[in-house]
Parts: sequence; C-alpha cells; structure tokens
Amino acid sequence: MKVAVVCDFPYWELSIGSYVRLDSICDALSDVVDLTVVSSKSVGQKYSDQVQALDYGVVDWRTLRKQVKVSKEELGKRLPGLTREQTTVSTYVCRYLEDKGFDVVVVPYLNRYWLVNQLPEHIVKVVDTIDCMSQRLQSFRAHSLTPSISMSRTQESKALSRFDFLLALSNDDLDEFNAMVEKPILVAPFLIPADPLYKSRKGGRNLLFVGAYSDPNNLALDFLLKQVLPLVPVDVNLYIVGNVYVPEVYSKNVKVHKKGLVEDIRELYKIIDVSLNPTYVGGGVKTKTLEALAYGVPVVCTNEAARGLHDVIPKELMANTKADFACCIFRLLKDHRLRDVLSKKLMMNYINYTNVVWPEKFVDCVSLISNRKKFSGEI
Amino acid sequence: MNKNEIIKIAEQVSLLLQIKNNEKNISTQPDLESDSLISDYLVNIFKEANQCSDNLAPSDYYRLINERIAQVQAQLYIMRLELDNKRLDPSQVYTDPLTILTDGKAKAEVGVIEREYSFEPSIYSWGWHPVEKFGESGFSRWMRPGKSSDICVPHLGKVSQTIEFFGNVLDASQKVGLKVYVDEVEAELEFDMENSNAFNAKIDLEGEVINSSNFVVVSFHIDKFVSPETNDDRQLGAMVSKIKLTASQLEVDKL
Repeated sequence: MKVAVVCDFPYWELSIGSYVRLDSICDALSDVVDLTVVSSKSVGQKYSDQVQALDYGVVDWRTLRKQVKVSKEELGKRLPGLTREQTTVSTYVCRYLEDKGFDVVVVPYLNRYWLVNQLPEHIVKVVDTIDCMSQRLQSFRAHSLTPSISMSRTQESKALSRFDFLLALSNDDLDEFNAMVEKPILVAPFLIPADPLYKSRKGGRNLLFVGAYSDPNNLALDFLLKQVLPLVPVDVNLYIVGNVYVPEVYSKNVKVHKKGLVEDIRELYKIIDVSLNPTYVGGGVKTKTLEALAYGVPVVCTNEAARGLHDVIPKELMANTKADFACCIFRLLKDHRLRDVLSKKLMMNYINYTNVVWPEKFVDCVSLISNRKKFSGEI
Repeated sequence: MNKNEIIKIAEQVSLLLQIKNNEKNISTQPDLESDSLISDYLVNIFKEANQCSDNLAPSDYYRLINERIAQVQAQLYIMRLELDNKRLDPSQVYTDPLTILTDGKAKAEVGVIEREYSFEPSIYSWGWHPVEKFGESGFSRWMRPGKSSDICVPHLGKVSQTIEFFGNVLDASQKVGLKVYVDEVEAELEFDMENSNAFNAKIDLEGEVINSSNFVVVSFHIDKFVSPETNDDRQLGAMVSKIKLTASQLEVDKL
C-alpha cells in the first residue's frame, strides 16, 4: 500500500509539538507501509543529512516543482475558498500523488483538507486530528477565552466527514469524534520514547512547569504561583521552561528560576523532584504531561492536564482543587519514598501505554476502504 | 416554562437567599421614611423611561417595579450560579447532564447495550461477492476465493462485548474448514441442529481489541469453495447475513 503524508510545514525541524507528532506518525507508519512525505516547504542545508537518513522518502517543495509539470494557465487559477498560494500548492501536491499512484493520503489537522481537495475519489483520505476543535472551544469558552480555531461540533463534524478515516490522539478524543461522525477512528497516541531520568533524593524541593506563551499556559502558571504554591507550607524552587508569561508578584516561599527555551530539557528533568501541570483550560494531550511521564518524573495533574492519559497517571497525582493540588505537592516533597514509588508506577504504566500496535490496525482497515474505492464494482 | 414563570421562581429563590444571607444582620423594624422615598424615586425612573403615565394606580407602579426587580434578581441568581460553577473544578461544568445534552456529548456517555444489522453495503469489507438482498430488508454476502474475507465492524464502544455473525455455508462439507478471527483470537463456531448449514460465530471482545478504535476487523477463512448447482458459476465460501453485538452482562448491570 502506497501511503503519502502531506503537510505544509517543515516537520523535520522538530521544533514544535505538531512537528514532533508528525515525525512520530511517519516513523510508525514507515514500518508497515510504503511511505513518502510530501511537504510544501523545502528542506534547508541544515536538515538535509537528517532527512536523507530517514527510513522513508521526503519529497519537498523543490523536488515537487521539478517533478510535476503544471502549465502557466493552471497556475493562474484560484480554487473557490483557497488563496492563490494554496491553489498552487494543492495543484502540485495532488498532481504528484495521482501520477505516482498513491492509495492513501494522510493530512495533519482537519483544516488542511485543502492540500488534497483536488485528489480523485479513489484515494483514501485520512486525517490525523491532533485536537478536537469543538471540545477545545467549549473549554476555552467556559473561561471566557477564544481559541485560535473556533469550530462548533456541527462544523467539525462536517469537516471530518470529508475524510474516510480518522486518527485520534487519545481515547477521549475518540469518544468525541465517535459522537460526531460515522467513520472508522483509530487512536494513534503521541509517544515520547521512555527514558527514566528521575533521580531519587531526600528533601527535594525542585518543581517544574513547562509552557509556551499561550492563554492556557499563562493562566495555569498564574494560578500556580498566586493560588496554589502559597498554600504549600515549605520553600520551593520552581523551574520554568518556555516563554510562558511569568507573573511579577508571587508568594515568598517560591524561588523562580526562569530557564526560557532550553536546548535539551532532559538535563533539567534529572534534577526535578515533582513536575506540575495545573492547566485547567484547553484540549488534546499535553506534551508537558507526556514528557514527565516518559522521563519517570511524578507529575501533579488536573483532569484537563491528564486528558487522554488518565490510565497512565496514578490516582495519587490527580488534583482538581487548589487545596488538593497544594496538598499533593507538599505530600510528594516531604516524602521521597512516595515519589520513588509513584515514579516506578507511572513509568510502568507509560511503558504499557507505549506498547501499542496501531499501524497494523491502520493497514487492516484502510486497505479495506482503499479496495472498496478502487474496485467498487467487485466488492 | 415561560419567561414570567421563570421570573417568579427566580424571585422566590432570590428572596430566600437574601433572607438566609441577611438574617440577624438587618433590623426587622420598617423604615417608613426611606421606603416612601425609594418608592417615589423608582416611580420617577419608570416615568422617565415612558413605561408608565401619571394615570397609573399605585398597585400598577408596584407591579412594574416588582417585575423589574424580579428580572434583576433572576439575572443576579444566574450570575451567581455561573460564578459558583467557576469556583469548582471547571471540568465539573460538563458533568451537568443538561450541559452535556445541549452539546450532544451525551451520545458518547449513554451506553449502547445491543446493536444488530445485516451485511449492509456501507460496511467496509473485502474478499466478498457483491451484496445480495436477504429477507425483506436485509443484505448478505458470500465469501469469494482469496487469502481471507475481511469485514470492518463498528463496535459498541469501550465495553466488554460479544460479536456474533450469523450465516450459512453452501455445502455441509465446508463446515470443517471455516474459521473466523479477530486479530489472532478464533471465534467459537456453532452449527444449527435443525439447519445444519447455518452457523453462528461468536467472539468476546475485550481490552486492547476495542480500546483504541471504534471498529474491529474480522477475518473469515475457509478452505473449500463450491459453485451453486444452478447456472451460477461463482465459487462460494460461507455467507454472512447478520451481525449482532451485545454488551456483557457486567456492563449492562452498570447502566
């Protein structure tokens, strides 16, 4: 089965969560199918060797322009609802996929349908949903915030129904989508390789918060510094990674270490006793929670922070009020044995969680859909 | 419930809340002077807003004032409820069944305990002869020669469940070679005593098989294909006409 993953970003740079996610999807799929990635961005000199070393082919914009012939007349067109640039990209991508006889195309995010909207019906269209937009919108609205993509359930359902098969990030998302569309849905979890970095030590006081600048992260850190940590009856060190907004005024028992963007976050995880994720607005699986789990560091979570990972996080690390959150932090800080036990427990759960075989299930179902589309007279 | 009824209820609730909150703090002695001044002031407001004229009786003024106060109280009450909800764990807002219903989210929450369908044309499958009408409104399909005949069955969701396939083989000699699998788990096959060619293949689905998708792919294998005696030269394996999914008794008890 010839599968193409199509994107409009340089995922090989691995600089943000969605690039890493796409990389992990490609890695997993390349083991079971004949995979090619088609991108509307060109691979720069810096990443050339890295891309060459991949187990599958990458056709970047430069290659695409060389291999596909598109007339000037076609380039001057503009498809309804698309910009001229999107029309050009879509024309090159779809022509390439059709000429090379691909059976299946995978697109990250449901709002990237435009990349493949010129493809013939017989090519199976798969979307890696990544987030459930309407659930995210609901969560934001409950706190008077506006997400970057505002989509109601009806709109999302309509957008999803254009695809033949859905990949979901978690079982929680699967439930959401299952109520919206009658399409096959498979959970393809976002995985970070397990690497037990947690180090046991008595009297640990090092806490960690990771977050980029965004409303959910800014609110979570503000809540943590102003409302949760003042309730913890000991002095603590809070390491903050990422460009999240750090309030200027906070409790005296907290010593803040702003680390900004770090080259290798794993070095920091080695000195952390407890990671914190008090996020209470948003959607999708949180990379910061996943990271702490992958590195075996106990992570205190709200329900939102644990979205999609409830089976992995021990109950002792869940807290949904500020008093519970503070209690949980204090309990973990004063008892290193408890931290050790929970670290082992969550590491074991995480290893089980990563032991998934979704690509095989993907092939089983998508090949049925592909055959149905290609040989509709024979089924 | 219409607007006026809601206002009445909100007014009562608001009054009760005020009494509860203010008990022991406010003197029960009437302050006649200030009461009369307030009434005059309120009447002026209604007059300025052209909502009443000088011809109205005092009882009409009071009716208008009461209605307006009730509206304000109702709004305050709703704001208070919203604030109370915000103070709690935000995710609990979604445990309110009314909120869930308005979102249509309840569909996922309400457990389905049984589903039954024939081999509908919409079901993704491969390795079968074309769909045929079965009975009055059903459909069926015969296996055709190949590595296997596969079918993608949407399941009931994250509950332990049993999937059953009903159908028959063309010739009794085919029974021995018929096998049905989900992943590597083999279905339990039973043949009907009265109609010896009719079969029922049953598989219990649990854990990983159903946990991470809303479908299961089921494979049918048979080692002998035969042609019907008529002019039909197709090579036929087993035929499937009905698929039934049932939640386990444990799951039903939970609901």
